[in-house]
Amino acid sequence: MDKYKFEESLAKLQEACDRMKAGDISLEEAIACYNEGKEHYRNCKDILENATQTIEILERDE
Amino acid sequence: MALRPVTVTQLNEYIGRIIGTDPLLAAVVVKGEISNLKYHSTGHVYFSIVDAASKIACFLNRSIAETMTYPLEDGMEVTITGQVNVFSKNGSYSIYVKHIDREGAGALAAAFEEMKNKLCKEGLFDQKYKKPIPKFPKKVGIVTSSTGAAVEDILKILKTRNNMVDISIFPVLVQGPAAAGDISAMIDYINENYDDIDTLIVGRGGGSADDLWAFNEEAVARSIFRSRIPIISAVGHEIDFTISDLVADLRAETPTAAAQLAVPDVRELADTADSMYENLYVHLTNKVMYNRLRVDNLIKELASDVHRRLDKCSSQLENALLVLEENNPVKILESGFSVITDESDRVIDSVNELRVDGNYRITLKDGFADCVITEIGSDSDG
Repeated sequence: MDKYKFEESLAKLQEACDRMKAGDISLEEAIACYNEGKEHYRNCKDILENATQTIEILERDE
Repeated sequence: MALRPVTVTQLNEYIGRIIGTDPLLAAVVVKGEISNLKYHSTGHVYFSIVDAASKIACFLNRSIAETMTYPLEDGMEVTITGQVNVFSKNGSYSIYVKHIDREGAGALAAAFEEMKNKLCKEGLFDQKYKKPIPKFPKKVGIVTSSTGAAVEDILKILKTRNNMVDISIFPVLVQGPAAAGDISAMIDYINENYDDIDTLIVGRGGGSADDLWAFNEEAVARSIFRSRIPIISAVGHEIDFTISDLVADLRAETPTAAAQLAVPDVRELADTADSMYENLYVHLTNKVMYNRLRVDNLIKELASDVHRRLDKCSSQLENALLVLEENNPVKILESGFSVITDESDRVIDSVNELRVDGNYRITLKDGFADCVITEIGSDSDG
């Protein structure tokens, strides 16, 4: 799950939601879908909580 | 021998005297474009007149302002007659305006139109060249003055909206004759040397038309157009439109707006993730509940089906019993009838089945009697 970037995980979570909403999904698929969505949700939260930011000032070499 | 120091006041008063008594400066006629115009509540008017490279402050007294037949405007080309005065309090000088003449449209405005038409013809503003601004940038570069309000505004917004994005600030001159070259070179330099910057914000805070002029220069426009990195332009306030805005991939009305356009708000993203997760959970719960209901209904149906079958079987059984009992031969015997059977227990119901001297058994309600037939007759014998 760590290999997913934030935006990828968010997209996967959205995908899981869409698939779940589709309705024609079997219960087994729905459970698998939920578990996958949950993993991606946790990954998103992890990334947001552990984010670090750097701010630098760069000069141009003449 | 060291010079005796004078006070600041003494120096300014001296300069004031020199300027105030100069016959040429006492009645100058100067032409330029109005910029930074401010009608003060006292009725006095403050503004600057500028050309492409220089400016000078002007003061128009209320008594003269009241006699004017048209309002002054930024960008208006004028010829001013007046006297140069020194304000010793600020160590600054300005023209005390005695007369203003209006000329045609401002030269800066004409230069702007000319540049706009030229670059437009070349297609620099075409929508097809606009690069999309990345939704989730890892690193945003800011090309602006390191000391202006713009960089502070941008940093403030970036930091509050998004604690994930890295920020690189590339300081440049944003006004004056060297600004355009500096901005242009910096944009080229970043494109050549930084491949980790996803979005560039290029701009400055508000100012007069001549303060913003660098962003109307061809060099800046061409660098923005060349840039491999998507650029958001952020020059001045909402009302300021520059060539840079037209060439850039996206125009932000202000530096603050540029920061908002450059990065997503992580709290909003967290909320989105929360609601998606909740959604997912609700859907799964619904699915489980629905299936539980389905299973419950099926088992109920199954049970009632079994009961129905059992009931049917037992009623069949009852009927069979009834029929059986009604036909119980014992009952018949009890009414006084008897049954004749042969040696192999076959029931005899016709005289034709009897033989004379044959052995038969008569069964009655309370026992039996074995007998031998002596004679056989039939109903037709009478």
